[in-house]
Amino acid sequence: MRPSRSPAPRLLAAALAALSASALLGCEALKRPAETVTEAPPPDGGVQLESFEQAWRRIDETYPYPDFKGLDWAAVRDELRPRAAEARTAAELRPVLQEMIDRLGESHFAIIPAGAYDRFEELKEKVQEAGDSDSEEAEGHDEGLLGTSPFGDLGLELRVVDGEAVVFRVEPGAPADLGGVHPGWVLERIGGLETAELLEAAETAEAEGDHMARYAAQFAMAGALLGRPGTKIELSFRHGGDGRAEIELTRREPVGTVFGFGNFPETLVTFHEEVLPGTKIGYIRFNTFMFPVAGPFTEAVTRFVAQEVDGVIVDLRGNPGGIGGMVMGMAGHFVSEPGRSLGEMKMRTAELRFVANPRADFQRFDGPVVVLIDELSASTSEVFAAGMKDAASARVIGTTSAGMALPSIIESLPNGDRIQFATADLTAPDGRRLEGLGVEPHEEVPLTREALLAGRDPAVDAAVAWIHAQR
Amino acid sequence: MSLTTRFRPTRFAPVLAAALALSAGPAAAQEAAQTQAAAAPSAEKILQRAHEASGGPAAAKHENRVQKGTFSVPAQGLSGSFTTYSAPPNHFLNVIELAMMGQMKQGYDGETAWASDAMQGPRVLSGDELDNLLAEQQFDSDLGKVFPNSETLGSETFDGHDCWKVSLGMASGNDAIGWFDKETGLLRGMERTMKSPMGELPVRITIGEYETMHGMKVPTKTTMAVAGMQQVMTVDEVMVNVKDMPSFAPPAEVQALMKDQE
Repeated sequence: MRPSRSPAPRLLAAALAALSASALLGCEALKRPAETVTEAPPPDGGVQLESFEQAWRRIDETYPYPDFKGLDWAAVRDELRPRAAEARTAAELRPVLQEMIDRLGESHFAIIPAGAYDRFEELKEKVQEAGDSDSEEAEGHDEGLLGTSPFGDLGLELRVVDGEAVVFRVEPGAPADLGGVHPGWVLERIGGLETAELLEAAETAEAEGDHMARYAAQFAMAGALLGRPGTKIELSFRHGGDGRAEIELTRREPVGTVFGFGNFPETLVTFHEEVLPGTKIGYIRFNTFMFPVAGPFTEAVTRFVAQEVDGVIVDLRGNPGGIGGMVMGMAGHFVSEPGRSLGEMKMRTAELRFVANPRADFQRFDGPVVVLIDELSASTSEVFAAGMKDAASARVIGTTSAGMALPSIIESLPNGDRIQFATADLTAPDGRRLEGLGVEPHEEVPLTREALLAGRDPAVDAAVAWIHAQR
Repeated sequence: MSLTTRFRPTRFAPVLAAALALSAGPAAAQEAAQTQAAAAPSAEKILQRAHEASGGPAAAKHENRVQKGTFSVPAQGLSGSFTTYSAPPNHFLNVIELAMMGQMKQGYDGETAWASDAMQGPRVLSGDELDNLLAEQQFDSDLGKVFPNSETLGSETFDGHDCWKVSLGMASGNDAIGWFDKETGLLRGMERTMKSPMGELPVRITIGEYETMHGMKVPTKTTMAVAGMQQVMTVDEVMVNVKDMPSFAPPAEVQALMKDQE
């Protein structure tokens, strides 16, 4: 070690560069600022203008395309600065900042209000306004039974199928299962919130150019189902026979790991693995690319290798992304050749590749692999799917992914809000840009209500069939 | 950054335009730069002075060293700690603890350079990444050994310090630019390109503070600009001649990988 220049800075730079360069891809649910969140620090016009300047400057410094693809970024600043100068609170500045980042027309740019990490209080407030029973005045409410986590859930997962909010999964033993909810049922109302109204508004917004509206609507519905454990929520369903059911469910304690990383809000990380019943096929599903998943993923694949399974399915449907660098370690469980590219990241000052880091034999599965994706698979999920398609010859099944795959970072602004901004562009190993286009599956297998009502998952069925055909 | 920075075409562009009428412009500027470089000490002398100013000769007598500190990426709310263990000639183990991520480890035991973390998985290092790593792990802190092909470029202010700017050339061809304080002889900053299987990343390192520890000048506050982000490192403690040093050998997951590659 040289006293005048410790190796630690360089080693640390190398390690943190890998982390920070891969950055965090995802969390589109954070895109839109809320209207009813807690206020930021006391009003100060100087702080708001300072926040505007910092937000503009950081994007100016890091946007991967110096020419801003023809957008006059300096002119955007000049145009909006007078309005920013008039803002006296963060709430007044947010629309100005939102308009600024909207000019870029890309994902992974968002203004996150200072109180937004208490988003479940925000959602609770909205649901309460709509007449939901999730309130302290709700009949049957027992303060002593209430948990403190905001991630209490029902074990219920939704998807939009043919324009309707349909129950996709019901976890065995979870409140939704015990309440008699079944896949394929249409969720018509969440408390007082009509899902059809929300989805119609999202379709209109998409038609008007907001290409993330449908995505955001689905995550908004998912968020509305969450709340403090022990609280109740009324759901209205149209079930298989077109009859209706009004069911009151009580949220349970979260199942998973609550994980926060840097400026990103805490999220509940879930992981599931099994050998599919009646098959010798390993199945892995997790809801986000965060560090708590890494160890279980390695353990699952190691076990599948030992069990000599016929194939492995990695289900990334509904996974909005997370830490991009994780694809390198995880893809290494299926790729034997060192240095295989999983995609390229173009930053302002550098171009980096995500490369697969092969694992030892006993931790690496060399047989048929299927990656499942859908329209809610975003960001790191898309990098993984596209990379595995090329590097591991994985079969990709499902529906085209979200097309939101820009590496981004989140920074604090002086006024207490935070800004998420993309610092790179991403292309698949074949050179195809992922942003706006997504990953196209080899096999397009959408969900159907009929299949769900029959207890089937068409994409998993297709994956099993393909794996068996490889034998 | 390469040696062409000496000529800095963008700075000379307006001068060049004027040179159509006043043809001495660029030539005069170049001559001034050469004169400046000619007055500067040789890179060999600058690096030798840095070695002595940092307590290098005394440090070379240590059996081993342990350095502990913290780091942060303030704008992103990330923080953690690091511990670096090192022993001659260039063996080391670096352990980074990042909140909520666990450990990132990197090491070299004289035979194998390796890395392992939850994000990238276990790796055996090779190629440019290995060359750079080994070249920099000189326990005796002699920069002249690390950068044998160096050249003084001239004077420049770096982070408020009047410095000698030096092109630092490694035998492998992986170069850097260093700024050495004229008053103290110490390294004040460096720019280089980090190479790894992921590609190349420019890094700018600024050494803000030094403290004397065990007869050495230790950079206790270092800022790095990487991939558009600022990272701050603070060294809190340095120990020498420590008993019970950990092993620098690859951990089990890396050894399993190595066995497959045999």
